[in-house]
Amino acid sequence: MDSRAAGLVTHVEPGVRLLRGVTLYKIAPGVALQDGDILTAPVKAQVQVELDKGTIANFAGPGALWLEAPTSGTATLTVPGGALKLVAKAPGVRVRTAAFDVGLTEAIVVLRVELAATEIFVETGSARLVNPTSPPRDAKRGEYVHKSLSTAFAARPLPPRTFVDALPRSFLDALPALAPGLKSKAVPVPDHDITYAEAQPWLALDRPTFERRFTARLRDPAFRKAAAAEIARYPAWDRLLHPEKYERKPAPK
Amino acid sequence: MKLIWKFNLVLLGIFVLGFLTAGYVSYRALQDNAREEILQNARLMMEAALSTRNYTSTQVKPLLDTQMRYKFLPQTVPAYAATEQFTEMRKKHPDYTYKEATLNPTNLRDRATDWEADVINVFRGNAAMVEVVGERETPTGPALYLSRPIQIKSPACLECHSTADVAPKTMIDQYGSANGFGWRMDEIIGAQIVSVPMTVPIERASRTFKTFMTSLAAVFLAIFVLLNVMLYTMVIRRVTHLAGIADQVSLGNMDAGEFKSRSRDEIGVLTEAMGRMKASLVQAMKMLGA
Repeated sequence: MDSRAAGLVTHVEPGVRLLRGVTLYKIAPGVALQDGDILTAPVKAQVQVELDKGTIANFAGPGALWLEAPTSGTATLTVPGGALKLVAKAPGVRVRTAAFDVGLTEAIVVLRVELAATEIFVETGSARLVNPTSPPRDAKRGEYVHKSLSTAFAARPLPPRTFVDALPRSFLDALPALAPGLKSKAVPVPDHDITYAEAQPWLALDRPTFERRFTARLRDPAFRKAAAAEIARYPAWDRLLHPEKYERKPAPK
Repeated sequence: MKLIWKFNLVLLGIFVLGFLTAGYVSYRALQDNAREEILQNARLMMEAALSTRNYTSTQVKPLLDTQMRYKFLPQTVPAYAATEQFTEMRKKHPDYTYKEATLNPTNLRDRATDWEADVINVFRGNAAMVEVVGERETPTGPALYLSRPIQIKSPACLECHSTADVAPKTMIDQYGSANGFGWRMDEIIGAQIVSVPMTVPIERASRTFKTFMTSLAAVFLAIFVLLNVMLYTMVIRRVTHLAGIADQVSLGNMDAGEFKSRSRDEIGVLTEAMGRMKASLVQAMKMLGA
């Protein structure tokens, strides 16, 4: 793996795209991922990412997976929606969802995330579940925990059938490490620049970060027009689009 | 009693004795062979079941270990795999059965019936016994059963069958916590029982026996007729002819006929001797008359 790479794409199904900067790319196994890359997957499409130190993440749509892998510290995977099977190895990985965050070191977990609710099943090891409104909670091997934005953590000794049936069949088997079998690297192929509609969920998820990231798209008239229609939501862009509003008025004489 | 009657009586006696002896020996041999064939079939089926069990525990179960965390898969259980394999086979051979009869099974379809429990208790009463073979009547006819004990020899078995609180939750979810627990190390908890129908091989042996005995009877009959024909043409008829001439000669009728024979066998030699004796007699009478 490239020393600057945060991870390696080792399996891709049709429809999966990589959002790097403001551009969406088509990808193939062997593409190196960077800090800040986002993978989007349509319904039933799967993509597998293998991080440094042996951590494996297999993600299934519909949804997206945002990878933050600073050069120091543990990697963070943000999942606004979708299903994720994660084999975590030391030094560990953190998963962010709307309902709660998950901290893992040596564990195998399966998550299913819908906008307002997250379910997690711990296959092996244990996971620390953290939420600002509840005390941290450890989920042990074999435990299933569910939480939505409006409800507290609820645990069960077995995953419910609805949860199991909603998962891709392959999530019920052990995740194989595919990186050792990859013979060549691949380069992402640009598809198109992100549209305002595609950017909207990310702006809603983390406005300051994505306002900064997508600022370059304001040069596109269509994007700019769409953003301008909802400019009240984006104060940073409002400053760029309407600097006159923020100019200091001369003090009254 | 005429010679032919004496001869036929002795011959018939020998034939009847031979027929009965051959019948008894061949019947026993054919029946024993049929039973041995049934037993071999049963042993082959038992070995197939053991192979399925072994394949399941060494190759299938490890592949499904992860899935077992989500849902209990009976396909990972060796007994289930062996039973299912035979269930498939029974679609074509419904009279053959295989069961892992257990006194306290997890899956209630494995619960031992009364006669199966008796077999299991034979093993429980004698730990050195490795196999029990017997016959029993079934609705489709007599069947031979071959059974071997199921003994807990691996601690891995107790992961699911010692107590409900340590058993996999997915298994409890599927089968409940009422059955299949309390097993102990080295305990004989059941028996593998293969049941093979006896009707077909026994009927085949009976058909073979009937064919053999019919053939034997036909051969005896042919020999009987042939010997009688030979006896009549080669001995009786010639001796009767010889006796007739000798009788006439003895009454002084020297014109009764000649003692002639083209054969050089014993009767031929006797005929020629009697011819010479008649010639000597005629010569002597002529000399007395002169």
